[in-house]
Amino acid sequence: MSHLDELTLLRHIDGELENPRLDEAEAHLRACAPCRGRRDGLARETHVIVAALREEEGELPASLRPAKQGELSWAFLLVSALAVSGFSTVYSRLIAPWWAELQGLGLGGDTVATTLFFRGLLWGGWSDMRQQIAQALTASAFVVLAVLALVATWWFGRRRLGTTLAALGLLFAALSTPTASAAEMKRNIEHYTLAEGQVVANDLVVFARTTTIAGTVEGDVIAFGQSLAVTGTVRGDVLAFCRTVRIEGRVEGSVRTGSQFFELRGTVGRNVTSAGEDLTVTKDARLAGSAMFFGSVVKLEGRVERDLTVGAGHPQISGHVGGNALVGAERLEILSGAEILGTTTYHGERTPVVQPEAKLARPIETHIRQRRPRHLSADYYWGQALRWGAAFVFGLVLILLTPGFVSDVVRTTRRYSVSLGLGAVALVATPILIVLVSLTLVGLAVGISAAMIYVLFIYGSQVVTGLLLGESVLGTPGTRGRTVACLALGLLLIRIALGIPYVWALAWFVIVALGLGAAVLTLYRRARPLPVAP
Amino acid sequence: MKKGHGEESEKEKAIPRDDGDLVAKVRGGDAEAWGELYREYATAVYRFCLGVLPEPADAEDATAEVFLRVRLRLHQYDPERPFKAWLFTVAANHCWDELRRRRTRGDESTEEAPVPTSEPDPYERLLQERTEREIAAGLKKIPARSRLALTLRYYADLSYREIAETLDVPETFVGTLLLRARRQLRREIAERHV
Repeated sequence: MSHLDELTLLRHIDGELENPRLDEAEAHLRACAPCRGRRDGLARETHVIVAALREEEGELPASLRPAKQGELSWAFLLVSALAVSGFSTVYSRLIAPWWAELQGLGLGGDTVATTLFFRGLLWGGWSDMRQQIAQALTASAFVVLAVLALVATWWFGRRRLGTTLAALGLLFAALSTPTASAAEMKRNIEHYTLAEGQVVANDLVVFARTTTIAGTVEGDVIAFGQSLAVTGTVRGDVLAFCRTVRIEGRVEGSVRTGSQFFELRGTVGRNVTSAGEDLTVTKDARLAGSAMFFGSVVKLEGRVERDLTVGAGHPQISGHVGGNALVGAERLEILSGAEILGTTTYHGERTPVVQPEAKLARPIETHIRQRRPRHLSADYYWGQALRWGAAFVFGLVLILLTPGFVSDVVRTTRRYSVSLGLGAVALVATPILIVLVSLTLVGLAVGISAAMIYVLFIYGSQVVTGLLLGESVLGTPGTRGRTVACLALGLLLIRIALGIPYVWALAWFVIVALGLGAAVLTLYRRARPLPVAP
Repeated sequence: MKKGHGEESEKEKAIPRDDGDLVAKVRGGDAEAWGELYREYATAVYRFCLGVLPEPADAEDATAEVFLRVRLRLHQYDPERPFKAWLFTVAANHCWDELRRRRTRGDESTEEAPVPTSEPDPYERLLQERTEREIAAGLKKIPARSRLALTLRYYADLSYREIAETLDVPETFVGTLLLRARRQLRREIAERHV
């Protein structure tokens, strides 16, 4: 009689033998004492292996234990106190004085944003544009909410990723549906010219490479593109986001521009607000309201009938200001031919140059900022502490809301070269994509949302890199308290690195790129299809 | 699942029993139920990973990853099957992927031992004479796939078919794999103590 082999005996004690082999084996075992002995020996061996596997004593590490409530109460108390005192400092030292100065310029009564932007829009009867901006903002909020919902559902695994993506797709499709518009729209054209003698009876919205208004627009002009030239008449306001804006004709409303080069040669019936690099009001220009200019070089040769506010590197005033002038600059020059009827206030680092021929109704009030090494000032350290506190709170919230994701990202960060490379690409490519997407008004909502998420990721990257730094010093955290300690220490090291002259820019790039790259990589790894579970 | 080695009562103490209602609640979106499920199985999964992966830190990472996968893929789980078996299959898949990845990096030895023959093993009775701690130490020394096979069978209680699916081998090969693992373990113990 041949004996049963070891494999058959093992399958028998593991319950993996099936008939007829099972019956044959059991019949043999009943008759064969040596095979019974070997089978019992294997069974005893199984017993010790099972017991040995049970011997594995590992208690669940603290990082895997469900969080206990109240563990972080001390941190919240500390940070809340820091946040309250920080807000109070920022308000009393920065916002309140600035607000008081603006009120002094006659801009009180409304919020600054309203005065700068929306007030002019509403006054000009830009109901159509207001509606579109409101739609864009609402859509942005929807998109942000939808993305958050996507992350939440994905995180909790209650919905299929595909279903959520489909819902998002529908949302985007709905946003892309053209809305009824009262304004005349000119989109995606190379050159737009409203010829002399031609009249647009309502508002005109133009998306073109170059736009020339030689005719008359009865409403407002909104222009996006490379250049805008107004040589004709605009009865309403002009809102332009172009590289070059030139106003040679007549604008009866206000002018608001965000452009690299702005030149005013004609007349503006109300106010001008312009931010850019090189801003010029030529000798022939006349501005019936107030002017606010923010740029590197500002030249005022023409007439501003009311107040002038300038924030610039190097402003030169040789024209007429009917109201007060408030200038914040590195260096101010008031040249011959200048005439300022109200007060002249200057905040800067160098003494202003005032030529004797300049006519100032009152002596210039000068506030020279002393440039000291910033690390000698207590404010510097207070500011750093506030920034540290804000990042710490943000990090705590991230750790509390998404502990798994944060630890995953930190782990991914250890793949330094991949994270750094991917982060650098994301850092540079994302703004370009956002600009491209935002070029059309339909894509504006998506662009704004993407920009918000981009900024959030950039800010969050310091949390990731901070945790990585903290862990390198304190070791891999085992408890939540230790994770918080790693975060606190890491963020402190980041603040120190960002405070070093010259080195800070490189440090910032590495910190952001590393965190951003790791986050993108982790998101990609989580989003990719996982192997199908049996 | 077939049971054959008569350790049910002892094993049930160490590995939590299946809970269909709990899983159903989690699938319905009950966050509390997810917490309960996690508390019930986290230690078992962690110990499983600890038995298979070389370092405690790897086991910690793997446990977090396994529960993340379970959460994401719970809709794929067939309620007709024991949840515990499915959970350990997910854990084994993850650990096996991790081990394979490490093997390509060359920092984990998973070289194969000879296929068992019908010749009696001279160390057949050796394991029965050793303490559990000595055998646990020996388990750490045998190749990863052998260790994983033993852990899947004698810790996670998976059937030969489930082990075959997890390790992507024919079902008929699982017995050979387990036998080979036992022989490797016996030799490892023999080399240490003889």
